[in-house]
Amino acid sequence: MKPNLQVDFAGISMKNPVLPASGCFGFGKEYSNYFDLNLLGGIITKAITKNPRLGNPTPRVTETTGGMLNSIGLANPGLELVIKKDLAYLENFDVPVIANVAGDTISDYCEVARILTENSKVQGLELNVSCPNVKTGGLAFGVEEKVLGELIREVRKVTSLPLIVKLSPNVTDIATLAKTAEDSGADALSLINTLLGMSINVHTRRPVLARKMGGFSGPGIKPVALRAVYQVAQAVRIPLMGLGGIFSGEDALEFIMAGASCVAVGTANFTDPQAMPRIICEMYAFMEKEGIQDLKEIRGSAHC
Amino acid sequence: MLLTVVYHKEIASGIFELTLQSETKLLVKPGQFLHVQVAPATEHVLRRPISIAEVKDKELTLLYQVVGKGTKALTRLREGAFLDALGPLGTGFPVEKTHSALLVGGGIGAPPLYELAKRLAKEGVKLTIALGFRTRELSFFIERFSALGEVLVSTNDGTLGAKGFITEQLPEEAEIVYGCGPLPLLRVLQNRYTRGYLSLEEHMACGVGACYGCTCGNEGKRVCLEGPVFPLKEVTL
Repeated sequence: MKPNLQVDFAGISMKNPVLPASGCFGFGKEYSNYFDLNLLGGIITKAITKNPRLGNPTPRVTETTGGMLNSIGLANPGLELVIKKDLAYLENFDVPVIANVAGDTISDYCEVARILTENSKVQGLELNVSCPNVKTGGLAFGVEEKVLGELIREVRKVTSLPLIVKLSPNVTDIATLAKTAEDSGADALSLINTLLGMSINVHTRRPVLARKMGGFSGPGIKPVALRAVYQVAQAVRIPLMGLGGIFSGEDALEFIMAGASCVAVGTANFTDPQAMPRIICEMYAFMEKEGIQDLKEIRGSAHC
Repeated sequence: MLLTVVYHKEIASGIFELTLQSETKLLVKPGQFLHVQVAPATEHVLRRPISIAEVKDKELTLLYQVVGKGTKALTRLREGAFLDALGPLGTGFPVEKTHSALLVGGGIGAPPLYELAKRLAKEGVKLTIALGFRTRELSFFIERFSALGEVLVSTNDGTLGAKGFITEQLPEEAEIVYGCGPLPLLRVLQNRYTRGYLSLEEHMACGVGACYGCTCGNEGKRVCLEGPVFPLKEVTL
């Protein structure tokens, strides 16, 4: 019997556990040229903010050993245009859409969340809490318990959709923040977001990125991401989406064994536009070979 | 797609000509680029965008300069090896049937102008091709361009052609200009001329328009998708 990759994640039914990570797939249109988006378990959109954002000055991407840095800065067309054009395009596909929400203030997050909740194509919201918070002098919402808790509680009031909180790894103890998110009303967690990093050009003697620092992603962060999922799986009961350096089916299965119910793939799409369909096939092949019928059999198996 | 290396030679100091064969004929516009994977993918996570210099039936020629880890690894490709590339990507230069045209290339910006020059010459457009290089050792393709039109050459140190920047050799007016090279060169072209196209470059990640890493100007246009070629006055440099 063919292995079953179907998952129910926080009430969202997915044909398989593989989704593109936010920011690495736009709103799907560009990569739809490379494979049928219907193959995916779901689609996580680029971060959506109330107003259009151009993002940071360039250069805002660069390769590093083990991955890359980005300081894109939440560039997106803004809520109104996203609904009119990008979400409308996704109506063509039979794939659940999780809208990633970002903002400068709690009220910004709430407004975006509230309006997206009314959109029939959106089946879940992912809260991007790595945005620098204007009120707390630039610290991200996701690094401080009180602020994180307040944000989630306020967003919770305006939406009944599955609410996934995307955790930042740039904290002392991610499990504490995970518990805060769970207690504040999150239905699920996705982890990890990028690691804060930088790269210096020895010829110009200056940082490569115009914004000096950026988010490090790619194969190099996988051990950190796995550790985070493993720790958080022991701290909370809500389901987890694991991401960070997934490039193969086996990478994805490591995250399932660490305790994740589904996974997201980001940087790998840039290396190989067909990374996700390939990863899905590799997962099937591994499960067939190892006699695993359902992901339930191996979810969290690393915890013994 | 997988391409096969059929020719790979260093043609100037640190500048290589790489000819690749495709299994099928490709539709390529001059100015488009290939997003090249440097093996192994785990060591070079991001692809390198390299402009297409020439198209001949199923063969594509790329010219690239060794500037870092990825381009250095590319030099190891032997004839017969496979190369994984996405593309052709991006917008190309429109081949406008004007009476004359001025093509301006700065350094390793020049290659995409070669295929453009071939197509313009085929349409009977009278070409002036201005090429600026840092020094003689870094010059290339001068003879090839000379077969298509009048060539002006300059080097910063005067070791070949006129001494100084190529912008100092340019005519005051041109019916249409096509430019590719460093930003200061493109700015001169944008200010001096009234009609034409500029090819930009920017650090890229996805190369297909999904990540918004390579934006330019004031409207955040993507160099990989809305570009790399932009109408002369339509991009803020």
